[in-house]
This record gives sequence, C-alpha cells and structure tokens, in this order.
Amino acid sequence: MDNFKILFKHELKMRFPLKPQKGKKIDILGTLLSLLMITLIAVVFVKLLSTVASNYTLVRVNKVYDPLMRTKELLNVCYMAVIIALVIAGLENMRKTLTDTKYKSILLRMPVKHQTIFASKLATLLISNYILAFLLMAAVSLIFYISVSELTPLFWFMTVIVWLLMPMAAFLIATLLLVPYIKLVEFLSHKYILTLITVSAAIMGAFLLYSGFLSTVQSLLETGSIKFLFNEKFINTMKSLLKWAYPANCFANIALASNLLVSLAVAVVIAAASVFTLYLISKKLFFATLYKNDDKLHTAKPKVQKIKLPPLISLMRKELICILREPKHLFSYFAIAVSMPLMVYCCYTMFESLISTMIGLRVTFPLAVLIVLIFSVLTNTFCSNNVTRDGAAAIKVKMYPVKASTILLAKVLLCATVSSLSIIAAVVVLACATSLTALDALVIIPVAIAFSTAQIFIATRMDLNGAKLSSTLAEMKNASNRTIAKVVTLGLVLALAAGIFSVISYMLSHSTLLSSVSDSKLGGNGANLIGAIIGILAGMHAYLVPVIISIIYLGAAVFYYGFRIEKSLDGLVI
Amino acid sequence: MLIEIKDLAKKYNSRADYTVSGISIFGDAGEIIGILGHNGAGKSTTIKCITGMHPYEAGEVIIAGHDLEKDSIEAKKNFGYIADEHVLFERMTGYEYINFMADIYGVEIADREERLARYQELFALGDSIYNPISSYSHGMKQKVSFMAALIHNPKVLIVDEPMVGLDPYTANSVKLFFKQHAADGNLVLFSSHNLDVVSKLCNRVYIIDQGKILEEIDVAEFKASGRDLEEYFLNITQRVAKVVGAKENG
Repeated sequence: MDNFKILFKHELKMRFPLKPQKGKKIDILGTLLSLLMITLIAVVFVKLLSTVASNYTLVRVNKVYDPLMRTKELLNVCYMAVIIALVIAGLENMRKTLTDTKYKSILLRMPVKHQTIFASKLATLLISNYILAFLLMAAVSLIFYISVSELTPLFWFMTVIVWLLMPMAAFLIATLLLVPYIKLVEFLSHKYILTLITVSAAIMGAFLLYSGFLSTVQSLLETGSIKFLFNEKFINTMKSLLKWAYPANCFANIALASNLLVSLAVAVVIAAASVFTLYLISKKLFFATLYKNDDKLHTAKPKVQKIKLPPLISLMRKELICILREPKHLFSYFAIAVSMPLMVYCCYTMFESLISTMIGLRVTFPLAVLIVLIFSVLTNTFCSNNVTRDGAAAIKVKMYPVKASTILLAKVLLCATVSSLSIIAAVVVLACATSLTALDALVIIPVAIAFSTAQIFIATRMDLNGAKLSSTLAEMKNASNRTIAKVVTLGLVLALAAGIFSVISYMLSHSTLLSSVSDSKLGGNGANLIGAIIGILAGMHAYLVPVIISIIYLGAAVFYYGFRIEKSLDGLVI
Repeated sequence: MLIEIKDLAKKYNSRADYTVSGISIFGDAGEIIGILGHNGAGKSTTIKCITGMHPYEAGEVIIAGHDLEKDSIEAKKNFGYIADEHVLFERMTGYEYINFMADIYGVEIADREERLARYQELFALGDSIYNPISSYSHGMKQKVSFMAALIHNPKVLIVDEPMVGLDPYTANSVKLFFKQHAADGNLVLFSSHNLDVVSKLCNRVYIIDQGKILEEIDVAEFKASGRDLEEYFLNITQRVAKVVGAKENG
C-alpha cells in the first residue's frame, strides 16, 4: 500500500504540477491568452447548446408538451459526446501507459509488484478522466438547469451519481478497444507514408462531415427552415436512434430519475465490468507488455548517402525525418497541411455563398485571403514547439560547428516549405473550382506565403525564448501551450485585420470602379481609356492591404527572429 | 597546444556560488588527458562549457588555436564530443545520424565511407546501424555516439564517462582506439570517476573537486614514485571535503 501511495503521488505530481519551479518566470501574457481562448470556446459552446436546449424542449410530440422527455433526449446526445471524449482520452493514455518503454524500464527495476505500478498509473488516469468529465458535465448540466425550468435540485444530485459512474463506463469501452488500437498503432508505426495517408484521409473525412453539417445549417438558415428543424418527425428519428445509444441513455435516465432502478443497475454492472476488465489488463496485458521487447527491430533498407549535403540542407532533412517518423508530429503538422486545401475549399464555398445571400455581393478575393491566412495560422501552430520538441537534443546542437541562426533557420525553412506547398495547393484548388480569378490567386499565393513564413519565424523565436527544457513534461507542455496561445492569437488577429481591411478596400475599389466606368461612358474615347485605367488601379487597390500587411509582418518577424538569436540559443541550457 | 582552458568559471542561474571556477587545463597533440573527480565534482559542467553547450562567466577556451567564444565555428570543427547521456535523434537510423553529423562537419563522402567501415568493425555494430536509434540498447547508442563524434576525425576528442554502458570487448577496443588516436597526433580529453581507466590510459590527470582543480598529475612520474592513484585521490578529495566542512561550520 505504501508503494502504491508513493507511486501514485509521483504520478499525480507528473500529471498535475501545481507549483512552478523555483526561479522560473510566470508567463502572464501566455496564461491570459490561453484562458481567453478557452473562454471563447466555452462561450460559443454554451451559447449554442443553450439555444438548442431552449428550442428543442419547446417542441410538442403528438401535441404533448413534455420538456423533461426532450431534455432526456438532448442529455443523451450530450452524454454520448462526453463518453466519446473520455474514451478517446482513456484509450490513448492507456496505450501510452502500457507502451512507455523509458518509464517502464525504470519501474521494472523497482522492488514493486507490477499490479501496483499499473494501479498507480490507472488511478491517475481515472482522476484525469474524472476531472475532464466534471468539466464537461458541469457545463452541460448548468446549461440544461438554466434552460429547462422543470428541472429540480434532484437533477444535480443525480448528475453527481452519473459523474461517478460515467468515467468507469468510458474506461470499459476504452479497454475493449485497447488491444485493436495498440495493434493498429504498431502496424502503422514504421509505415510513415501509409500513416500520413490514413491520418490525412481521416481528417479530411471528418472535415467533410463537419462542413456538410455546417452547409445543412447554412441552407436551413438561408431558407428560414431552421425554425422548423426541431419538428415531430425530427424528434421521432432522434428517439429511434437514441434507443440504441448505450450507455449514454442509461445515464440520461439516471440524471432525470426516470426508469431509475433499471438504469442504475445497468450503470453499476457496467462499472463493475470496467473494474474487472481493468483487473484483467493489469494481470495479463500489462504484465505481458512490461516484459515485451518493445524495441522490435525494424530492418529498414539501407539507403546509401551518395552526396555530401550542405549543413543547412542536412539539418532540414533531419528535421523532416524526425517529424515524418513521429506519429504525433505527423498528425499535428503534415496531416493538417495535406488536408488544408480541402478545408480551405469547403470553408470558402460555404462563406462565399453565405455572404452573397446576406449582402448580395460576391466577396471573393478578401474572403479567400482571410480563409487561407486563418488556415495557414492554424497549420503553423506546430511551429510553436520548433525548439522544445527536440527536448535535450536542442542543447546538443549547440556544439555543431554551425551558426545558431542556421540551425533554427533549417526548421523555419522546412516548415515554410511545407506551409507554402499547402498554401499553393489550396489557392490553386480555389482558382480552379471556385469563382476566384487567376489574378486573385497569383496575388494571394505570395501574400499568404509571406504571412505564413512570418508566423513561423515568430513561433520559432517565441518557443526559443520561452523554452523550459529542464522542466517536467507537464510543465513543458504548459509552457508550449502558452506559446501556442500567443502565436495563434497574434496570427489570427493579423489574419482578421488583413481580411477585414481587404473587404473594406474591396468594397471601396468596387464603388470607384463602377463610378469610373459610368463616368467614362459619358465622355469620349479618351475618357474611356482614363476610366479603364482608374478601374484597373481601383482593382489593384484591393490587393494592397493584404500585400502591405504581409510584407510588414514578414519584415517585423524576421527582425524579431534574428534579434540577438545567437545569444538567445547560447543561453539555452538544461 | 590543442586545448587551452584558462581560468574557466561557470555558475548556474539558480545558484549564488560558482559551480566551477579557476579551471585551467592544457593539452597537446599525442596526449590522453583525464579529468578525475567524484560525482558532482564539476567534471560534466567543465566539459559542457568546453564544448559550447553551456555558456561560462569567465575564462578562455581555445581549441586547436581557435577561441570558443570569438571563433566558435572553427573551434567546434576541431573537436568531437561524446556525452554521458545519449541524446540522439531517435527517429533516425544510426546510419542516417552518422551521415547527418558528417554533413554538419563537411566530411567528404569517400572519407566518411572509409571511416564508417572502420568504426563499424571497431564497434561491432553490423547491420544494426540501419535500424532506428529508438530500437537501440544503451550500449548501442553509446557506440553510435562514438561513431558520430569520430566521423570528422577530430583533433580533440572530448568524452564524458567513456566506458559507461560498453561491453568489455568494446571498452577494450575504445581504449586501444584512444591510444591510436592520440598517437596519430590528436588529443583525447575525458572525464571519469573510474580510477583504473584513468591510470591505465592517461598521460596526465587533473583531479577536480568542489568545482576546482586540486592537482595536475603526470601519470608516468606518479607511477614511478611508487604511489597509488586511488589512495592519493581519496586522500586529497577527503582532505578538501574536511576543510570545506570546517569552513562552513564556522
């Protein structure tokens, strides 16, 4: 028991580091921006769910007004989403627990039973899942409690019971999926291109579904039929689907104290089954993986290097290998960059149609600028750990006979190459498949590349400035999140500025163009020519704003990046 | 002189006092120099400063005639470094990593192929070199670190705890290699707390304790005087510990 306590305490400290290290500066701006982003997401979520909840509960089925039944259906959907989130988190965490070789090798040397090791890790995972469930369920429950006046304080009491049981149910599902998931990850572990294709296809598929959903909402908004969306037919379809939504429907029943005994019994059985499967995993799987040789030899075909590469190119190649062969990097960068053209296309077509319906004007160029810039900012989020993702190796590069600026420039150039290819593909897709003109596309490509490169320079330097290589993994993650928040906020603000000013400029140039054309029609041939020139100049004027913003941003970013960079890298220590 | 370290001093941000100070080490071609000290004596900090991994507050580090601060690129070109902890790019294969290091140091293809074949035999790494580093054992990582550090045939080879994790056969090969490398007109500088390795390999030894050099020993002369290095080392470091302890107590 003492061993369990010691290990459990250690795990808790690693996962939830409450005290910052002595002598470390607190990043107030980064923390504030992180909080701001979380608040923004929460506000959107609360607003959306409360609107749906208040509209949905008003619907009468068979002319009967039954807000509690409607609440149960909606709660069912929400609980299902919470369970999915918990299953995803649990699945990946359990896989890591079972396959983390470094930590395992330390623990194996300790005179502690392997069940104790697993139990301490599991208890920490459960706590983190309970915290996640608490945050999600508290928000959902509060929204329902405010929106549905029929709910009594009993709802809160029952919600606590649901909260106690739900993470266990999610763990059961995760444990059932664990073995196939580990097999899948193992299968893909050395098949980098296949992984890239699979992950990119999954992202694109998910985005297509999401944009399909948004397009439906948009067409409902345009036709005004959104008011009639939540009708009897819709609710009956929901009911027939939710009948099979185990175990979320049991939890919805418990929360509203309907069919309580049966639902509670099912939930308790699920929780007990969860405990049993966890016991089985600790007994069989954890023991097996503890002693399994994880370092399975992967015999790659020997590729002989036939030419000497310049240091900069070799550093870029190294960076490419390290990103491509690390699944989490592959997902968070390459797969997103590959999927970007589709995402840009979907967003552009949807918003172009929406704006054209709302204001009767086809705002093509500024909209394309705005969307391409926003997506390039989001894709380049990865660059916010350009330095820290190397961990201790970030220090080792200091002994290379290469300037610090070259070492970091290799990272920037690789990211800029990936980002530029992604931007070019996205803009070409827009030019080929939408009403965006070739001239617009030719302007957007350099503007977006300059903007994106500036973003990468800033992200890399901010990461270097805020690097906390001597900290624990959790502290490093927090520092990295704060850097990401700062970089993304800056990028989005500037992308919005470029987009909005471009819209204004576009509108002004269009009105100038129309008036100049009408003026020239009144005059002779000379007036015609002058009118045409004014028209072209006015058209060019629309391009100026994003061009100027991206040039200034790139200049400022290069200055910020290069300012005393050698000294900054020199000061980076563990 | 291939290495000249004059009055090196380093302190970490979180500490008020210097971790190492007044460190002066000199070495010429053909020498094997040891830095001897127990854990926490300041060996690794000294080496990290010499290799440019840690900035230092005072002193001079000159490698093959190039000042590490003023002419850092040229200074760095002239040494190879093997750390006690193997921080490698684990997603690369051993072969890719060694070639990457060869590119960084500008080694010609013909030279690197000849050296790679030689070291592959010396370290008995075989075809494992084509596997990802993440699949290597501690010893194999140590061997790849050696090969990567030697691929540019450095004039100064700096090693932190060289024998850690090596099997007896490879450890013996490394000792022979150190001797050969020095005999070829180069310098080997390594830190260790292994008195046996130091006494058998080194021409000169610097004993370091509490961040300061206590003594410079010519190993041949020392052995000729009939004294025992282990006994001497323990005496001298204990004496310092007592003096420091007495000062701290009042």
